[in-house]
Amino acid sequence: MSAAAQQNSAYQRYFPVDDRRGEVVPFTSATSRVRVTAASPWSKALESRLNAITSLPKGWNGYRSVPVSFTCAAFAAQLIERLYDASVPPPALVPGADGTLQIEWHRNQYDIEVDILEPYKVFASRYDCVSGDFTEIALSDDFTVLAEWLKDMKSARADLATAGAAVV
Amino acid sequence: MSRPENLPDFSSPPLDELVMGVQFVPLAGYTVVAAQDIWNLFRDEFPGLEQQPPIPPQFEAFGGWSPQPSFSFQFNVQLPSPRLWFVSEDGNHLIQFQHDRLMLNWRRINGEGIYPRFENIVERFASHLVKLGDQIQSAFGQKLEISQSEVSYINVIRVESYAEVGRWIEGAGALYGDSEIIASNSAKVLHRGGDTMARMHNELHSAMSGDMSHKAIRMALTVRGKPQTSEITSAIEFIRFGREAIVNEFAALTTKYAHEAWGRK
Repeated sequence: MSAAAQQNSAYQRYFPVDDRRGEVVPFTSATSRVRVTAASPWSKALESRLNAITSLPKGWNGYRSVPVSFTCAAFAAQLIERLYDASVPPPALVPGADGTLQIEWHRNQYDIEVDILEPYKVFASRYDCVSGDFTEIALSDDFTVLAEWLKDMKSARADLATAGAAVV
Repeated sequence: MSRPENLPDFSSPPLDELVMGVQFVPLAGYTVVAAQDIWNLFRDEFPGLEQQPPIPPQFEAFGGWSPQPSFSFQFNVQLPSPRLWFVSEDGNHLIQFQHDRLMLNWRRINGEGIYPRFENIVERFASHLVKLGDQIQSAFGQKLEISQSEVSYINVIRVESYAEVGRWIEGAGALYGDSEIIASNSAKVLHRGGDTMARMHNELHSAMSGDMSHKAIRMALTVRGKPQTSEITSAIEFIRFGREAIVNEFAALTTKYAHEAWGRK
């Protein structure tokens, strides 16, 4: 049973008989603020980064900045999980001074940047460094377009590799 | 609002618990001290108080390649603001509140309690949300901005043996007829008018009663997603949409034998 159903339900008077199979949760340090479970390699790779950007001190940029909000980080983690593609490296995570978060890929002549302003309030942009094409869109809960952009970025790498160009 | 006409209806459904809830923009500056004022909003009806670990944020995202139904993202340390249960005198109703959620549960206690029906429960929930919205506006100067709604129906079907599952759940006999345990999770995306609306989670498990006296099949159906706007009316509309989807799915997944046993009208 999912953790969500267990936690939402007020009572577990009827408990699943396979509850004892509970997954093994890896040890995390007492100072670690976030934990991801049953995650893709991307999320696992980004766990420490998520931990770092949600733990930033107030004024971390020298001004009136705040750490990335836990809610933004949780939404970003969900989005990253949806987009996971084993043949694409994990994105960079960049904190915003106002508690927001940016997910970025800069590869194969493409710049893809995804601004998580709050859950379900997302702005995404793609810049094609070869053609100069720039696309910017607002997104809510459907990220099919981002998956397509990543696919294009991956295809571009294949094209560049064939042409003998640098791919990173 | 009355029950939709064509919705399957049962006189004695095996419903054990109904949960409806919203997730909202976290209250800035919320502390446990403010929790007292929140409880006071509901205390006449919900005099009991219990403390539970907080539920981490959950979001439904669509598109992409990698569905991970059991993926979770949690705070590794106890949040300063726990989840509070405000419990009714009879224990059948409870409100769950934390700094970014409000939920309302109806549940059977020891097999007792007459299901008050969805329409009554959702109206109560809407009024609870209005009360909460007014309170956080006055106490925090913040609007109640709802980012997600959900509704869950948790059904418990008592059985002598799990081999009976095929009698109650369509097609389950072939899959689980001689199984020692049953454990199935699935999810599907719900659309309306061509738009992606929500995700429905279906969990089917073999279960034991807490006193180990009998076996049961536990079927939990949950619809979760983003309402069209952050307003209370939109959240309630989403919950109604989810309820219709769940009841139709429940009727489709269960057998004619089960429908007769539960008094399908």
